Formats: sequence, structure tokens, C-alpha cells
Amino acid sequence: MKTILALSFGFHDSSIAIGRGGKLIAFEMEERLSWQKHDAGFPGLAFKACMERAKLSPQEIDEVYLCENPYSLFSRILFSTFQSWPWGFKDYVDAMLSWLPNKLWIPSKVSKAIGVPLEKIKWERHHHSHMMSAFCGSGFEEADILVCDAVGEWDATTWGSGRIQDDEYLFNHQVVNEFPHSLGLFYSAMTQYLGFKPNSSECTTMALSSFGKPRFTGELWEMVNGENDKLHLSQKFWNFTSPSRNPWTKEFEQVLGKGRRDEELRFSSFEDSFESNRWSDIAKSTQVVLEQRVLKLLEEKRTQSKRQNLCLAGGVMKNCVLVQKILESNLWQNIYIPPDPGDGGLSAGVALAKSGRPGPLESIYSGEKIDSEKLSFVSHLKKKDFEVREFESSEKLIEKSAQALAQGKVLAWVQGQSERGPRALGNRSLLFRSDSLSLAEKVSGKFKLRAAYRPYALSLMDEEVERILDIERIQNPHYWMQTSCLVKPEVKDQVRGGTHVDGTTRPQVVRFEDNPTYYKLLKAYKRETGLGALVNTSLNESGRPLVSSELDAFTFFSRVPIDILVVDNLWFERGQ
Amino acid sequence: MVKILGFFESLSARVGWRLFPSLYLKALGKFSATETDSAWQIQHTLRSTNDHKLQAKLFEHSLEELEHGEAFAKLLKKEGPSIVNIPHFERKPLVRGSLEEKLESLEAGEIYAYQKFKLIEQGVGPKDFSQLVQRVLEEEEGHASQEKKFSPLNSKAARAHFGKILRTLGYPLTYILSALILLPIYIFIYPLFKIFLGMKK
Repeated sequence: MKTILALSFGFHDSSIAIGRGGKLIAFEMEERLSWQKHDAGFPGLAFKACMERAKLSPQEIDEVYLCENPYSLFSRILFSTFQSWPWGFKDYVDAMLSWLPNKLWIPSKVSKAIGVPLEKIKWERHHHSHMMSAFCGSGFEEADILVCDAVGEWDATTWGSGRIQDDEYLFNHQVVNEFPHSLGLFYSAMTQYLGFKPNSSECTTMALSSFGKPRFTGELWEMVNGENDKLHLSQKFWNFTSPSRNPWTKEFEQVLGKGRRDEELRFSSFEDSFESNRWSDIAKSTQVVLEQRVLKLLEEKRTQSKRQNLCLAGGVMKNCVLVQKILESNLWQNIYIPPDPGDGGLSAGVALAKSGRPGPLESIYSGEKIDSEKLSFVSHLKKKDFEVREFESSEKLIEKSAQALAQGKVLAWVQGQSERGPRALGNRSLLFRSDSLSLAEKVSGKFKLRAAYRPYALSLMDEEVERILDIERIQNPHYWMQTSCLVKPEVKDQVRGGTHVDGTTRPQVVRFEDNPTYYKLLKAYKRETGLGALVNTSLNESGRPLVSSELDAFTFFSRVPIDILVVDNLWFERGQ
Repeated sequence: MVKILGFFESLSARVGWRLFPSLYLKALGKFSATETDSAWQIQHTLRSTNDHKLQAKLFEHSLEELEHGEAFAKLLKKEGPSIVNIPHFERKPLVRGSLEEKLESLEAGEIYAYQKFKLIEQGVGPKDFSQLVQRVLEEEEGHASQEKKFSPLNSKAARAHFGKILRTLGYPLTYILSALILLPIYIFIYPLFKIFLGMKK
């Protein structure tokens, strides 16, 4: 049985995964340990943590995989510097300084850093790694696969299929779009144009789009459309070869005007009436163009495939409104998106694919495990504005938590191992009742410090789906907050804190077998209020990654004035 | 040596920030990242001991550092562009060793930070910046012994810090030298590639 270690780093969301026998025995994202959101650096902390959790020494690793071909990537970087000559001198120097002494020697540097011989270091192409992450763990025997992200080496969109034969994964793929003709780059560029951080705040563009009208769709469509209606991002409008400059050109500005700088956006997800403005209209148009392009591609591919299953990966597939449109198109019977469809999930995909007999994903709770005993020091703190209580029975703790939530308290819920992927799914979650808009506003303004136009999401028991969500059937993306969907009008007021202005939510449907403790909490809350649904948002401070350890959680509690922190069996409650 | 480095840092701040405001904004981001890194190093040390009193003391110290990091980030947000970039550090423990060595390392870092902030406390940046630096200095006084001077000769931990400082300061120099070496290739060889690629296209 092979032990495979896969590393993904150098772009964003570095991670490490160790697979054996087709199972993930350890996984960690560097950002969770380094406190740096989307950390792209070498995942040294994650490596140490994974080796400790798997109880492995470097000698026991059979093969190491990088999730990108460094030399192919270098050829693209060189190409970009040629393209931007003679005005891209700074980009050229930046690229050479980063590549010549470091990145060109990645295999030997990795070998040295992790203590594994150089001959064991291999690599998979970036999009091939995405395909592995999309298919492995899906539980399908065969499936079509679409990968759509910003860029990996040269590839921007890839189509293919995966199947299991003789206990092995087999893939084939074809590149649909190459750099710079990329939907991911298009969406990131528009995110930057709207004044948000690219490669980070794309969800903000998506949230803003709900306040807009698609009145710029025609202009944007023209800018991404080439001959025969193929995706084509002309250099006339886009600049993706010179990173130190804006990714849009003067010609782009002649059509859509200058990008947003200091103008405040006064939209609120917690108010039903609003008036769209230019920025929300551009966001909406961007979203519509993305959806149209992806659906057009899928419709084309549907005619060439008879498979019933579709796996999706790549950063673009984090766009839950797009996923909703794909689900509603009913082009494929079953859709699967891995827990982290972006670069953070690459290592997990490769470790699963290379390590043996495939099977469905066992659990998405594969991160750091909490140990509440490590918080014993809190009784010695000088400044203490809270009380601590230890519960011997988890049932009583759940009961007490449900009562507090029903009373309108904001509660940080930290249990077991942390979630894989970008969403808090009930082990590192900040929870509050769903029928209070004022509570949602308070959480945004006081605790999470995030823009009011960003909505919250709901966690609900599976038995509440029919009552709350307007969907035909539950699909995999509903379990992990990967798609938005409409809320039934008759329960709108009961879940308004977790819905957007367009009447949608991004649900986490919770089954007992997925997370028993969290399910029991929802059930206890239902006994209190009659509704088995709570608003669930990620437990992190603004600009920081999801908390990982018990110490991180307590640091959050010490800095953010929420009411209650529950870590395993420990109850911390702030005084009135 | 440390005095000379400090002098140059102070000079570059006084002159450079006035001439190029973007350098001031970059410095704010760096201060924010440095303070957060300090908090991370403190919590890393906290995990190396079972002494609850020491853990509590370290935890409170880490909260202060986080607060400083946040304050610099807020100032950057207030004075900078709409998209704020805080640089990422390669996060790793500065010292891997005994608890004593880690504590020494923390102290060396505090002394260095204190002395550095002392140099730019007055008249370097805008008023908000000076006020923030003064506040940070007041709070750091509790952690950094003012009688001690930072010197790489003090301890292994101080040497590790000194190495980190040199690397940070060495980067701009390396960048300029590399740019000069790479310039002829860009001017004379790149156009040939561009023509070749253009022809291929």
C-alpha cells in the first residue's frame, strides 16, 4: 500500500495531504496554521502537522507529488514577460528574482525541506490535479469533469472524464481554453475593477451582483467573445501578462469607465428595498456573463456525452450562484463538487488518486483536532470578563447551547476536527438565530466587520429541507454550502437573517451521519424554537482564515465581543 | 552595526516616505505583519510550556501584539487604497529549541522592535502614525527591558533576529543589483523573442 504525500503551493491556498489506500490520512491548509488567509507559501507548518497526525517519518513516504509542472509554468511566465515588453521591466525582474534562485529548483528544494529523496518527487499538471480532486471522493464509477479556474501552467478551462477501472483512476482531458482566455481571470479582474481584492473577494462581487441589473452584459460579452462565439479575452481590453498593472486596459475604461476607488457601497443584505447603481449593475453583468459562458460550454459538452454524472472543480466553482444555475439546468443527473474545489483542495485530490483503491469521501472534517485541556491556563488570566464552565455530559452542553441560541445569543461552536475547504460546516462556526435581522446586522457590523451587502448562510437539518428550501431534490453541493437556492416564501421571515435580498440562501443540509454533534444541536434548537435551522458563518476575524486550534478559538473570543464560546465540553460566557 | 542599520532605516523612512508615499503605505503593511508575526511567535512559545501562569502571561502579550497589528492595518486602510495588501511572511518559529531559547528570542525581538519604533517615533510619518507608534511604545515598555540594547552578541536568539533583519534590509539591495544585471538581457535579447513569438503567432 503506497503512502503518497501531495503538496500544493506557490499560487494561493497552500496545502498538504497524505493518502494511503485511497484514503486521506492527513490534510491541512497552511493558512489555518499561519494565520495568513490564502497563504501561498511553502506549507512547512502544515507538513509538520500532517506528519505528526499520520505518525509518519519522511522515510515512510513512497512518492511526493507537486500539483503543478514548474517548468511548464515557467514557460508561461516567460511568455508573459515577452508579451509585455518593453513596458514590463518590473514584472520581468520580479519574475526572474522569484524564479531563478527559487522556483526553478522547486523539486530539490522540496526534497530538502521534507527530507525525501529527489527521485521520489514528481508532479501532476495543475488542471489534472483539479480533475483528481473533482472526481476522487465523488463515489462515482465514471463522470464528466469540468475544471475552470484562473490559470494553471497554461490551462484555464479543461474538459474531460474520469472512471474507475481495475481499482485505478483513469482520466482523459482536453484543454478548452488556454491562458489568457480565462473565465477565472475575467472574474478576478472584474472583482479588482469593482474595488475588491482579486483572488480573494470574488464572493463579494457575487454578493453585490444580487443588487444589480444586467445592463452591461452586452459590453462585457463583447469583451470576452471571439470568433465562432468562443471565449476570447482580447489584449485590447485585458492585460493579464503584466501583474504590476491593472488587468484591464484604457480601451476597457473607454467602454465601462474607471474602476471603483473610494466610493462607498451602501447596499445591505438586511434591507428588502434597494436601488441598484452602476457598480452593482456591473457586478450583475459580470455574474451573468460568467454563467452564460459556463452554461454554453456545458450545453455543448452535454451533446457529446452520455454520462449522468458531472464533477466540477477550479476556483470558479466556488461561485455558488453559478452552481445553482448548473444544478437548475438539469443537464446532468448528479453533480459533485469536492469540499474545496479551489487550489486548496488540489493536494487532497492527488493524494487520493495516487494512493490506491478509490472510494467515496469519508469525512470532510480532516483538519486539526481540538484539545480543550490546552485551555487550562485561562483561569490565570488577569483580565477576565467571562465565566468558564465544564460540562460532563455533551447532551447537557447541547441543550444549554440551544437555549442560549434561542435567547438570541451569538455562539462560537468549536468541536472535533476542523473542516476541509473554505466553509465552516459546524465544527468551526459562529451561530445565531435565523429570524432576527438585527442580530445579523450586529454580527456583520460588530463581530465580523464585513460589508452589509454580504449575506449569511443557513445550516438546517435534512428533515427541514422540504419546509425551507425550494429545491426539487438534495444534491451533494447542498451538503457543503456550495450552491445557493431559493427559500420558500412562507418561511422567509423565519430565516431572513440567513437569506440574501434575492430570497436565496447558501444552505448546509446537515445529516446525522455527517456530523452527529452538530445535528443534535440543530435538533435541540428545533425543540426550543420549532425550527431546525441556524445562521452559520465562519469562525474567523475579518481578513483572517478560519480558526483551527482551541487556542485560535479562544484568541477569537478574547478579541471579538461575542456572547459565548463552546470548545469541546468547555463553555465560556461573557458577563452582561 | 545595529546602530548603523538603525540609522539607515530611520533615514530611509524620513526621506523615502516623504518622496514616495507608497513606501509609507508599504511600511504600514509591514509593521502590521510584523506585529502579527510576533503574536504568532508568542503563541508558538506558549505551546511549548505547561506552566499555566506563564501561558496566561504569554497569551495576554500575544493579544497586545495582535492589537498592534490590527491598528497598523486600520491605519493603512484609512490612508491607503481601497484594496489593502498586508504582506505575507514565511511563517516559521524563529528559534527551534528549549523554552528558554524561545523566551530569549521573544525578548530579543521586543528589544529590537522597541528600539526601532523609538527611532521613528517623532516627525517621520503623519500625526496618526506618530500617535500610534507612541501608543505601541508605551505598551511595549512592559515587555522590552529599556536598559538592554539589542546586539547580535547577546544570545543565539538575538543572532537569529539579526539574520532576519539583514535579510530584510538586503532584499532591496539585491533587487537593484539583479535588475542591473538583467537589464541588458531585457533590452537586447527580449526583442528577438518578441519578434520570434510574433512571427509564430
